[in-house]
Amino acid sequence: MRTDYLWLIGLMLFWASPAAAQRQRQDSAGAVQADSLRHRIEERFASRVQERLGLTSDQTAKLRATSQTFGARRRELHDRERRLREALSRQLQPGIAAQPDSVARLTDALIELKQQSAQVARDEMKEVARYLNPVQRARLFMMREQFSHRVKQAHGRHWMGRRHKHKDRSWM
Amino acid sequence: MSECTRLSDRIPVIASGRSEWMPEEMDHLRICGSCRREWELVQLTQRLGDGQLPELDANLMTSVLVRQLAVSRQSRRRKWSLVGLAAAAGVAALLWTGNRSLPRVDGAESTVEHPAVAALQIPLPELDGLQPVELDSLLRIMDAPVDNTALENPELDDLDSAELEAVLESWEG
Repeated sequence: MRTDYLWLIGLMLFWASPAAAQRQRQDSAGAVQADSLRHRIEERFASRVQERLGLTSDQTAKLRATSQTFGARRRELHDRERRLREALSRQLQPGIAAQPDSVARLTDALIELKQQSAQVARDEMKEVARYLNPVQRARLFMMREQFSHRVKQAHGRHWMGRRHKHKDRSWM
Repeated sequence: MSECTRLSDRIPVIASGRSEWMPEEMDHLRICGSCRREWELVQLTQRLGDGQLPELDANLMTSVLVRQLAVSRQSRRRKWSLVGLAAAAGVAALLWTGNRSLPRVDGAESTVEHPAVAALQIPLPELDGLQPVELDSLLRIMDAPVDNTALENPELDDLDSAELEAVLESWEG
């Protein structure tokens, strides 16, 4: 019981310390900045899609509805994938013995998730084919592919920079 | 009141389904070309939009037409006014139908300008895990032209020696 109190007091002191407060402020500012940037990127991407596909107002409304529906499904899959990858990375840390059952389960789940993502993409393209003509649909598909490529590029640049800086090789 | 004028008054009532032709009226329609054309025109107007505009309510259209005809009859009881109104209603219905539900031809991109186009929103879950510095970098490069060959997921066999060197460097650090 006494140990619990000591823990609690220690935790409170930690959070109350100026360093912790500053860290909290930085995290919060970082989250706000990230949200703002995400919003700007989504807005710009949508604007480019609208412009390059030459969407009518009716098509815009329909694509917006489709994107909301499938966006929610893709977000859910994306979150699951991130959690699975994190769990797998923890299992594969150098110097720590991996649990074969867990690793097998996580790997299978990741492969299954890739299939589900492909199915969602297929369903979404089928849905947009109802109101976009083949050229518009192909443009949308290519723009999405290019965007994913850009995301990987941006992530890769940052990751490579960090790796060169810290010589972090835990991913191997 | 002549038989033609009486039939003119009866046409909207019968067109809206609130009554039916009497045998003597049918006989008159058979022998009077003017009344028959008037009846045919109203029938044609009623059918406009069939199969093209499912949400167009035929009964509503008929009642609007009948109301217009009734108003018109008060000022001009001659059949030309009926013909004019029926034709105008027909043209209006045709324009409305054509505007709203003509199917778009696949392969043809729209060139019509829509003044009030709602903003499109496309959620991008790929962005969720990115740090501000990565998002900032993405914002700067997202409009740059993309070499489509870069999207093809090349295998090692597709790479030249410089690219292979770069891969080796990235793996060995």
